[in-house]
Amino acid sequence: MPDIAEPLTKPDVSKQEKSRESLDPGYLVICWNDPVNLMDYVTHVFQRVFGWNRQKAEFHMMEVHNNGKSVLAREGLEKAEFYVHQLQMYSLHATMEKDAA
Amino acid sequence: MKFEKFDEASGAFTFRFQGREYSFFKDLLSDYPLQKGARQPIGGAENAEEMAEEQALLEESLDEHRANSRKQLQDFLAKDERLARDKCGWKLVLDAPGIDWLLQILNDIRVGSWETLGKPEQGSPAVVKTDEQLRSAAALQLAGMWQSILLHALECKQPWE
Repeated sequence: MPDIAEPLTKPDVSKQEKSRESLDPGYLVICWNDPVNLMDYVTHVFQRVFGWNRQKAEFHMMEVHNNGKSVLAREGLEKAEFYVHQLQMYSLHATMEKDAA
Repeated sequence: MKFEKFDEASGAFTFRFQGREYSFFKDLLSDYPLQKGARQPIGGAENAEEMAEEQALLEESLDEHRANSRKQLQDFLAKDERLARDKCGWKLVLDAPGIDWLLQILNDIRVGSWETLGKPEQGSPAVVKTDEQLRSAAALQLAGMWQSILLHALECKQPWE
């Protein structure tokens, strides 16, 4: 009986790594305080981008205002990038960083 | 600009410009976009190469978004029936997504003007010595005032008492 032949194409490990990383909720989406964006505008943007109700959006807006920043979401790489793009389209000061925890 | 009424059935918000305000509005919007690229690095990348790639993607996406908005804005100011003249002056009729779009445009102008003024801190007045700085200071205030009116309309759906 012949040995089972090796597959001609080996799985692309780097792609799998990237894909796993994209889904791993290890990225924080952060909004930073600045002296130019109106508080009501920031609340409105959080509601639009994340689909939050007014109360939750206001809570995070106040956190930005009082503490200088607020962690808005913990997501995989692609989703976190998407949120930062959306927030910056509204001219908010938003970044993402890898969650150290 | 004054918020006049909200029509529950159609979801339309009506605003009205007073006196010469419409020409200020049109003039201010014609400056859009004032911002280019991203306001800050996206962050989150593990190495310089990845960071440069992600940053380039962000900047490209923002510039494309602004170019599309600029085109929409030009059409809006030139021929859109949402912005129309009647016997009482200029009237603006927007639905909720239209207000969101206009808020983005005004905020670009507000943030861009603030950057032109050297990013003054809250409570410290901007240095205004040149005509360009004067225009930026006026744009900063006007854009903020119109944003407040639009946000109030969205939230309360009835004019200020």
